[in-house]
Amino acid sequence: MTIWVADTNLLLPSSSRRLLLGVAANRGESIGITPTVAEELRAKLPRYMQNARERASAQPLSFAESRQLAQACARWLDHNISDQDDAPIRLLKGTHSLALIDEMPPRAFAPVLDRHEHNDAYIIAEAIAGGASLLLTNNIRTIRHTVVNEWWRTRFGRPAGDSLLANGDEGIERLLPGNAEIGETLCDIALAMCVSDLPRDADEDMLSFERMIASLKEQYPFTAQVAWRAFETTKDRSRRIAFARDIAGVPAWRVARSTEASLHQATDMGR
Amino acid sequence: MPKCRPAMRHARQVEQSLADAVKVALPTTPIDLDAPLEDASPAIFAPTQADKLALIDASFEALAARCGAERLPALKQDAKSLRKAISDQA
Repeated sequence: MTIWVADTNLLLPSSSRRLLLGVAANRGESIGITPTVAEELRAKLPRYMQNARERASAQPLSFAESRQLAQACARWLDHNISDQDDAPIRLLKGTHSLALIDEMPPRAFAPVLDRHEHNDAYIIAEAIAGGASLLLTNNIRTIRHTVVNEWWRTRFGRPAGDSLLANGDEGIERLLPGNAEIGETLCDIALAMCVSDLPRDADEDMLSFERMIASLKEQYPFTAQVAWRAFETTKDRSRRIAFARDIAGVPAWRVARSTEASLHQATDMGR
Repeated sequence: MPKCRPAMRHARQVEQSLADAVKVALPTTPIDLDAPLEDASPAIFAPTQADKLALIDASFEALAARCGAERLPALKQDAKSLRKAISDQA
């Protein structure tokens, strides 16, 4: 079993978080995060949601609304993140090791900063301490993935070709079984994470799926592309959507879907 | 129930054990999960064109190293069209 964790930048946007929750449901497990990622989520999620709400309503939130939203985000995080195996977002028990951070090559991080002030170094150290062998991060501007992966292989005696850090697209492929049907699987996962349990006509479901794919393109360009192609070449789209609705009823998927839905319900400011 | 696609079978196989293990109360009311609207706004985390291209190139390299020869042509085609789409946006 691969212990995998996701970085903050892949857990803030709803589409990306949904995809990861769907992948976790497909594997029958949780999304792993490290203590530093949990701290970052706590600090950044309210602002992210506030930006989203303000853009949707084209007017700023009042101080009271913004406070209410921050409290709703905090409650959601408290409810959904824990170190229990059954938490939708599981906090790895590993803590950072300063000695391990000292060992990381300084050129792994750009611009070269003091590693002890670089959250990415803490996240990597915590992931390793927590037993993770895969850390999904799209942070390619400040972490040199190849340098970290080379260091990790040497330091922990991992075989050539193995890597700790993977960007979103690569990480998703590593987590899903089989190569030949990857597009089909990704399409089903994306659909299952955006269909509604409520009666909705097929056009609305398709529009919802298109929006999901459009949002995913930013962070998972190849994943979005192959999922879309699988949908586009489906002969019977209604049947495919019906299949996604069926998947959505499975307990593991209901947990994943309700985790996501509860954030939006909790932070809905009635606008 | 529709027939499971092979790639989704794993989720089916683990569903019962997970349902037993999961302590989170399953909702009894419908889950109205529509596609996210907030991510459609590019201004929230605005990657530059160079960032987007760098991500495409990095993803392509990683995926090409992992995928079989039969998938490589499609992957190359995807990389080309994704790069073109980003360039056209500029």
